[in-house]
Amino acid sequence: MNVKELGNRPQMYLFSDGVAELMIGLFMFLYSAALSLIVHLPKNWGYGWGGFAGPILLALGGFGMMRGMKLLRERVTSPRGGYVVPYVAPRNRLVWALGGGIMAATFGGLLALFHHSEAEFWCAVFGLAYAITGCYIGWPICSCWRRFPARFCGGSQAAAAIWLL
Amino acid sequence: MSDLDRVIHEPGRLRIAALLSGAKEADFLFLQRETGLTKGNLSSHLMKLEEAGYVEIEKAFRGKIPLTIVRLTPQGRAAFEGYRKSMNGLLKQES
Repeated sequence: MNVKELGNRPQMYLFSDGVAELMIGLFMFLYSAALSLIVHLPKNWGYGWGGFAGPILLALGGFGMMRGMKLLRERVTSPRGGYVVPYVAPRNRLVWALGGGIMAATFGGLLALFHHSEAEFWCAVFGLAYAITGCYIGWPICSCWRRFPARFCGGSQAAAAIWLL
Repeated sequence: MSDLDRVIHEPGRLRIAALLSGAKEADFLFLQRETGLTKGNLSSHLMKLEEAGYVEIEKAFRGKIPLTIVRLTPQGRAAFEGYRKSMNGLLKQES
């Protein structure tokens, strides 16, 4: 009996049905769709309230994704294999879920305050909106922080912060 | 050896405690599948763990489907960690 391996089984179980990978793939598709929406907006929409369409679409898509994952698991996985919620030590959640988002939000906020042009201001505001949305979506993903998806989420937030800078 | 927690030391209960140490909560079906115990055996072990205060058992419904949810209590988590440390210490002494 390998006690350590038994302790890891609840985490492994969540990734055994493919639902998480399916939803993360959908999330990546939504993310790229949201970004390309900004690029293809008419020029006079680029810097204005129309630019918030991307983060709003992302937030709604993230909400739909979480609901979809929960429903699929309730209908398909849990009746066959059982129901389990992995245990995450409280300190682990904060580091990856909020770290990249706080960085991006800080840089975005500073840039919005000390901007030199209107383009810079809107760029910072959109970055801030994306950082907040990323935290909202990243929080449940980062609840299994040891896994690649959580590191991807935190890493992409940090990359967005560096890009903003 | 006499310091070992006999409630957790039993192989079936050790498997249950080890599984629950990695879970916030789990249902009866998951525990049965992963431990390989029969329903009666698993129920009996869970009852002993509940009497010792190491697990809490909640009967719930998801729609019309009954669900038995099991969680390790903070006392149970501490007891399992203490058992692990005792065993590691014992094995180090032997080697």
